[in-house]
Amino acid sequence: MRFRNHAFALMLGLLPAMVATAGRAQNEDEIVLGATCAVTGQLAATGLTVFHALEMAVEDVNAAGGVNGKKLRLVNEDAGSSNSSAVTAYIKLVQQHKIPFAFISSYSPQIIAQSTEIARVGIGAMHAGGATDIEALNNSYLFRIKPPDQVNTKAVASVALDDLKKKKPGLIYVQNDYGQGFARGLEEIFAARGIAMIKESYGPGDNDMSAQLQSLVNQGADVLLTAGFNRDSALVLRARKALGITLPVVGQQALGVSATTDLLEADELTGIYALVDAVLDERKAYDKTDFLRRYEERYKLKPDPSFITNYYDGVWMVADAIKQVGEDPKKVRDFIAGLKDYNALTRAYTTDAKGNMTNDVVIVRYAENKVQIPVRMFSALSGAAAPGPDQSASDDTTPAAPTAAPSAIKAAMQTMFNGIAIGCIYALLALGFVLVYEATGVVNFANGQFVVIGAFLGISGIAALGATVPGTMLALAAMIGLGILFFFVVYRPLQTSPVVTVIVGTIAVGIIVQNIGLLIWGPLPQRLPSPFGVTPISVSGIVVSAHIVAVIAITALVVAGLYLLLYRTVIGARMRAVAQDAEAAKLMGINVAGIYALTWALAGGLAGLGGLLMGPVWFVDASMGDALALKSFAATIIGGFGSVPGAVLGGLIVGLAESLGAAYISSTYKDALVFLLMVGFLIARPQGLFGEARGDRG
Amino acid sequence: MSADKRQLIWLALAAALLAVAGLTLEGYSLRLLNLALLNVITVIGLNFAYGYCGIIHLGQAAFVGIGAYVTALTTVKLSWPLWASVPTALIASAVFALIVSVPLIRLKGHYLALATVGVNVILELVAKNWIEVTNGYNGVPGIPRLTDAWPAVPTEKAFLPIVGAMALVVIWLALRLRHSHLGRAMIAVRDDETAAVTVGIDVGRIKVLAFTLSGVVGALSGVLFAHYTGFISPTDFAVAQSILFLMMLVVGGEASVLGAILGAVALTFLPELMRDLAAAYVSAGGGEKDVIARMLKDGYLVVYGLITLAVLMALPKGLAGLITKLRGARS
Repeated sequence: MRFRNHAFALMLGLLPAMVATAGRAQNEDEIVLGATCAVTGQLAATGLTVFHALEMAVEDVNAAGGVNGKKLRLVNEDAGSSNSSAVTAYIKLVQQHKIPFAFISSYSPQIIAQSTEIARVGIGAMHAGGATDIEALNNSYLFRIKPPDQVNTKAVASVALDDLKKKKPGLIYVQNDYGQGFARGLEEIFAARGIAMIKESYGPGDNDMSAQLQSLVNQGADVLLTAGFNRDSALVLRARKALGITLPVVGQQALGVSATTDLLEADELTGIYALVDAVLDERKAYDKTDFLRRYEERYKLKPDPSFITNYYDGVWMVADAIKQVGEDPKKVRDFIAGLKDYNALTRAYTTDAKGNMTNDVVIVRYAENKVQIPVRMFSALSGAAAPGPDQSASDDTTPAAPTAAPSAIKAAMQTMFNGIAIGCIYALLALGFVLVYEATGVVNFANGQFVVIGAFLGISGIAALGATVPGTMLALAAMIGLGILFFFVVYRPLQTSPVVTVIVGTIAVGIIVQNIGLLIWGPLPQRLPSPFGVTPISVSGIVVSAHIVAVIAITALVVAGLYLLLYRTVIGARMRAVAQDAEAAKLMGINVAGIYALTWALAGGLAGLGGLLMGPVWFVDASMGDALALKSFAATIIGGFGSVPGAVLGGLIVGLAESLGAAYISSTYKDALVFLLMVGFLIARPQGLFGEARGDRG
Repeated sequence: MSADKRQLIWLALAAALLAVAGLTLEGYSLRLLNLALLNVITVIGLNFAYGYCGIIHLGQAAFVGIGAYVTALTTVKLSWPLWASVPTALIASAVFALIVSVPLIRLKGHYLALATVGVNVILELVAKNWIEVTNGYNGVPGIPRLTDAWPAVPTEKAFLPIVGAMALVVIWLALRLRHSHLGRAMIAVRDDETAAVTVGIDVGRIKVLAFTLSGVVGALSGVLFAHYTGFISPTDFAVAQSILFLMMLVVGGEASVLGAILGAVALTFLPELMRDLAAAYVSAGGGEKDVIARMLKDGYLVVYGLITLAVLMALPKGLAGLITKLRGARS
């Protein structure tokens, strides 16, 4: 191959053309407010909420006559899901528009990444990131319109110790920037009061937190504290109820928002205390704007006080600033920095030297029907707790842990059972891999995303038909259809390409499917009803639900069915013949294309089944496919590619490694444990426990 | 004129063009250009393993991450000077690549792909959870920037000559390597391992070399990234990034330096081009919330996937192959 000089010249000629993205002309009679909310990717759940709030606030300001005779216009540059994309978005924003002020991410690492650029251009930026690390930046252009994490930790600690009079708090937190910061903050507060906190953590993509909860109970915790996001917090509360733990739970904002509580039954919220940024019905101002009702109507989402109202207040505040001091960014910044007892819709804001604008949180507890009852207002500035309308909090604190620490054996059995239940779901997903691999020699990297789409289709099917069983069946049929579609549109055109190409092709399909799912069903986690019911029942001390029993039974049936199909029927023999040598099989008169189509249909159906069984246990979230795929890959490798019993055993091993690893080794590194096991198998025994000997095909 | 001389002339032209870009463009476009050049380096690195040697490498982001983290942590926590931290980062990545590659290259196809995913996931978990050392999810702020030496020049402008020069050096070296004995051996291994063995190529050694070279060049990109942005965190080096790098190479054209460049540049600019298209569509009367506008604005990853799939099916040699084909048809 010669160096392709012409091509190179062409490329270099194209570069400047691509780079020259001209800025849009700015209208003289409008004022542009900038924003960098993440509206795509994994951070879109909060990013979109914030964006909606800003959008409505800007419209409301304009409807009220605008600012100084001008209209506000909101320009959002997508911060995406990485730090560098957040910086790119900010640079684009300030370069293409003359903005007096900006509203940025609520994800702390992105704010830290943007900080240097914000200080350089000297335009004030409002954010809702909680991390203490942000203050350490000493950036005088950053304003936090949300109580910082150190206020939240203080409030949580105060409820646990002062209201509930507990002595041994146990924290369960998510391993990310938020959870880690929260754990550190709480530890310091408790240490200052001479109390040692117990803690356990889980990964952001984890689905089963029962081992961690059990461990906290076993260590004698008398109150549970949580720090997490929506789906994982809901899973924690569900596992708490499933394990029969009745300890009260004190949690931060995630427990107070509908994105979490919508996933749960009302009785899963008994004994739960949560922080919220504002209690909306307390302030009459909202009646005037009717903001919340309009929000719900417009975006078909329940409005949550914690993010929406703050940013909504923020826009009005900045509009007011521009009214009073003009559009000069420096003057707007100074106005915001100098706020003192500034009355906005939800509360009064005072900016302190570190750029914190509010230090108040409201503590609520849940009554029947998920209704939040304010317990008290917590103000970090005054240090004292202002009494709220409800004084009954301490009534709940009847002493003695009602959850007696179970015996170590019972706990171990529960942990094992949980591991087996999760393992069955991994096994179902692994079977999808095995089937396709057995017949076509292709590893389908899109399988994890197929599973999630199966679950989403279940939600839509049930909603469309209004009944669980027919809806589930419809989704299953649709997934079989998707499998056949995949065969015709993707597999057939690539069939003759090298294996490497096909693998990359399935990766591409995975990305397409995942993001279409995100566009259609949105970034928020959703619940999928089970045809069997998820109410937990206790069988001789071990907690199970009808759904989990059904998962195990269905897995067993599918395994038996597949085994019979592959090894006891003519079709199975044909499938294996095609897998071994498609050419020879064709010569023998086997309809190879038909066999392939059948295989992909079965694979689609299996992925759908996996999703429909997984959804009721773990909820459904567009971004969970990758974690599922990785775990089921590990299961397939450990069990052995191309082996039906291997997939099942591999799934069970991964499930058990996860739950036992979390309980007895390290809840932080249990995922690393699974992948180390996988890499170990790859190196020492690539054919897995039951798989094919490594041959040319590999 | 020899091929070598022609290469140098084109590289000089490219340098001149980058200089013009640096003088005429402003912040945002420059930033995209800088990020594209960083990706060019990473993807050229990946090309050694995947393009030349046929190793499906879904862990390149991990090596970028090793480079970034080693130099970031040694400069921030141990106050090392750059002349000490940068070589340390590159050597660390080489050592790590050597250690993992020895067992990994015995694997093939999807086994190898999954093993590289496993390596990436484990490193990601360590970066996220070993808080005492890595500061966990919140990342490492306050990394000294290469551009600090010229405080008067905006960061993006000051960084372009640095990353531009490094990219050109890497391109030049990659081209040299392609036509060296080692480069030919790599291609031979990819095309037919058995044949390669029979002509006396030590297949294992060549694969280890390709994988290590891939890792070191990736780490170089990571080092530059850390000292460019001044802040790194684990999400910058996740498996999703590795997949993106592989897609860049596939779209551009595997086994070709030109392909690596084209793919990295095209996919870095694609989301921005699509957003501009979305804006144009809306201002031309399209609905802001309708399918086309949403697809253009928020669906760039769907388009990434579709483009990759289309290239796999219709252009097995990627954009670079398309250009060669067009030239062939013309001459």
